[in-house]
Amino acid sequence: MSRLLEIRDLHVYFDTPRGVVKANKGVNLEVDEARCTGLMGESGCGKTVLLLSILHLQQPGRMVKGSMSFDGRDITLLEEREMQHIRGRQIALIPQNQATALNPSYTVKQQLTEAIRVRREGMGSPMILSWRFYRPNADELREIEESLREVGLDNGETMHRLLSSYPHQLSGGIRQRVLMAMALLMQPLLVMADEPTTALDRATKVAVLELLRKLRQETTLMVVSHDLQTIRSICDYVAIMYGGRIVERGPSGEVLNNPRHPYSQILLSCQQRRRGEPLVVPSIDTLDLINPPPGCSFHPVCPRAMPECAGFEVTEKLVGNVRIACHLFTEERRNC
Amino acid sequence: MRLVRVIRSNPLVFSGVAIVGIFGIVAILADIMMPHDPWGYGQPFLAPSRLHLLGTNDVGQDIFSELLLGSRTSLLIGFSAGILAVVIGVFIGMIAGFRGGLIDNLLMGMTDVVLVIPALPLVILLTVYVRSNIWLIVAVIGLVSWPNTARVIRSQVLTIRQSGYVESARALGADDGWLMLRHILPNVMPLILAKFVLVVAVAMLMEASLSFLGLGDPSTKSWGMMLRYAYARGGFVRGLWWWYTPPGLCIGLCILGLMFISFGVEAKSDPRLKRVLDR
Amino acid sequence: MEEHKHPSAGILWKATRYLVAFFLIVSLNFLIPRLMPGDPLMNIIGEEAYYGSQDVLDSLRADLGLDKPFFAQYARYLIGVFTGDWGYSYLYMRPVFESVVLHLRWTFLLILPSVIIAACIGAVLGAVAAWRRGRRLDAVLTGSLLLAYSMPNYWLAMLALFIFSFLLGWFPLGGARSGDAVGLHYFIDIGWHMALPLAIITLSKTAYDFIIVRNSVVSVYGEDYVLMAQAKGLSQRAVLFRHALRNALTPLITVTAIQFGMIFSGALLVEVVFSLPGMGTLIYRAIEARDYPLLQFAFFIVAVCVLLANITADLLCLWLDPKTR
Repeated sequence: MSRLLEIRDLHVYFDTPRGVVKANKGVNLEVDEARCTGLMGESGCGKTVLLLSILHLQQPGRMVKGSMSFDGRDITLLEEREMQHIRGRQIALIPQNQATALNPSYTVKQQLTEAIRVRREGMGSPMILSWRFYRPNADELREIEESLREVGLDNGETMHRLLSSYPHQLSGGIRQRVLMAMALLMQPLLVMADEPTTALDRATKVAVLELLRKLRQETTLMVVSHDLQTIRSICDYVAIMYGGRIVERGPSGEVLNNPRHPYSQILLSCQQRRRGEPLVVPSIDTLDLINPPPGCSFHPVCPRAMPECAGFEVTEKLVGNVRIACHLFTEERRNC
Repeated sequence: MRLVRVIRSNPLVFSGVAIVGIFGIVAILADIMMPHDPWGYGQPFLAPSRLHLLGTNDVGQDIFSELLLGSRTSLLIGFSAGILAVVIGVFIGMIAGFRGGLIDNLLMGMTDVVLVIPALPLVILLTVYVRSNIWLIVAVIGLVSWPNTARVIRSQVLTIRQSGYVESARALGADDGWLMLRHILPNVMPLILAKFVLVVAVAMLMEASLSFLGLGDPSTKSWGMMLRYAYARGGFVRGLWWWYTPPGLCIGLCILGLMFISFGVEAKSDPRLKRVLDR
Repeated sequence: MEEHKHPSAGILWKATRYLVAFFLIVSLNFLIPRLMPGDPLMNIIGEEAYYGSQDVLDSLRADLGLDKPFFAQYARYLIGVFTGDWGYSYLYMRPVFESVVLHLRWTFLLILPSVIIAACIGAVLGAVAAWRRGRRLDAVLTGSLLLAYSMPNYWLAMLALFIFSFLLGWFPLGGARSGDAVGLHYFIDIGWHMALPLAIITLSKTAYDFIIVRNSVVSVYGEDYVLMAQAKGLSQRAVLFRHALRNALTPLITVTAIQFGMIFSGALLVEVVFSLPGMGTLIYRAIEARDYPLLQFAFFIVAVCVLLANITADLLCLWLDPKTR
């Protein structure tokens, strides 16, 4: 099993009118080929920023520190031109918000054709405002239809109508599938799906999950979600993020069934809570990203906080198969 | 206090306020600062000299003094018309956005109708009858310049009304007047300021255009009037650039300052940040 | 936050608004002379004619029905409007319609090319500045175009005339054509005369379009579909022009339509400076002579042109925006 993506000590900062938001501060992550990696955490923990940074699309955020390599190649300081070759064709993104991720001015056919052209011809010939620019030839049309069938949009009668529809005429589930088809058309080495199941109704969610499960057989997948069901049903490696850092990561069975970091325990217990059980959630979402607390960001609300937690941020420690960033698991502590 | 902080933290607003502020001070202190009586006759068509910084016009009035006094008329008309237009616009926009339904449809229909009527030709038509009184010019400019403000305020009010907190304030028993005054007005204030400043700019430009066409109040000095006389009475043909350049430059600078303020106040943070911050 | 209505309801609503606006414009022309201080007869026919012979005045007064009740006058006026009786200019001694039509073509020759050229240049520059937001190129473009926008354009016209015509002698001192050139030379001559005024109007319109496009492209860059276009691996240029600018065009068209009155007014003043025989010069002379019928009809024509521009813009948006198709 070879390593596809490796992220070391990634720091991404955003300058905002109110101050510097440290969206990622010291993220380490490896993505292995033919595995499905899940990234879990609440809103604002830096998951999306991490995904965008991999594509160097985190602007106006600044990559301050850290390194990334993809497919054996250091991509940390790659030029924009070279990144364009990696985006789409090697790492495809299925973005967070299906409702707005398709361009409202172009038909499904035009947008899918664009994906094929990018894959075949590079960045697409430059100028031209024209929305008639992308007319697929017979081969391309066949490929588009094929890809749509692959994501479960295979009712032959309506294919023509779907292709000439504008995004606002489609339902959320269909838009999500069109986005997946678009990612597949680019035949990437790695597919990153950002919250693929949020904002979908239950039935659609199940169908999309089914599709993702099929997709992971064919390609390397990275899924970002705050939904336990999504992560549990498709991922074999899980990383849990809080306040711009990965607090715990390891094989999904171990992390999900036996979380050790106090934050992971709380996050997972919220989602697995049975009716009637008391809710043990400290108000986590009040984390101030601009002036984070000193030391471990989680310590002000951590049920097991210790004096040293406010002192400095701890590096990841390997505990069994799982890497944990918490003072509870440092060497010194285990020794005593 | 908050206003001072905004001005100091934003260089664009700061320079805008500085430019407009300087003109404002000149307008107020014009009487003291004028080296000559701008109405007094003297030797015509003098070139700039130590005595007459910008020379004299066709009847020997000191152009520099005219320029100082002119700032008063131009700013007075601009700001008065701006206040009038913004008061009307905010009133209509708030009611339309807040009430919605039929009232909204009617008010916005009216706004759209006024919006397509070209302002300057209408103002020309009106002032050509009433002639030469700056308050009438103010009233006329104010009455045709409000629709844009009304539309913008309305859509902002709609957005605010749909955000939860107005609903919750209402659930707590706040009546409409209270809601508008305490919850909605403070939220549209920056927008009102930005629009006000733009209307002032438009009004100043319109006043200058009217005066240039000969519809200004001949009993006052204004920059537009100076441009007219420089153009119509030989300053331009004779190439006396010190006569027609300064008033135009002053109008332009003033409007630039106002635009800076409007831009700075309205400027939002980078929309790409919302991908990170809103989640 | 527009309400979701059936598209045809929106079109009907717009059509009603335009009808009301048209009616208002027509009525304003009736009301203003009658409500303004002074003798309505003078307010209607203008000073030039008013101080003529008494017999003519009396017959005019009877003809206009000024002694009749308000609504009878209004009815007579409306019939006049719809049968092409637009009034008589005593300054030019012919029906106002003829004078205005003769002058209108010059104004159109000035406005239409500038609007189109400015929209193209403004859109491209605005998009580029938005893409380079906060960099030096953006600062230079925004700064210089904001400056150009702030200066009164008839004053810029005076400066340009002074520099390029008086000092350098590259362009004529005014007017629309010189002498009796024929054939191709006729057009070259007109182009030579129109170059400076066209440049001035285009400049201020470009500045305005630039500001609009820059702002809307900046906000479009926050949209997810632009992110998606980038994530597909498109070049920055393709993202900018094909995805971002395409969706920022509707505001440009809407605002151009709303601004059409301002553009028209600006052109009028520039015409005066360059002594072009367009509407501006016509209005200028009419003001000097207090030729009210001419002024009223000029207002009417400008207003109708703005109305037509708005309708055109609505149709363009309808065609451009798939959601309303």
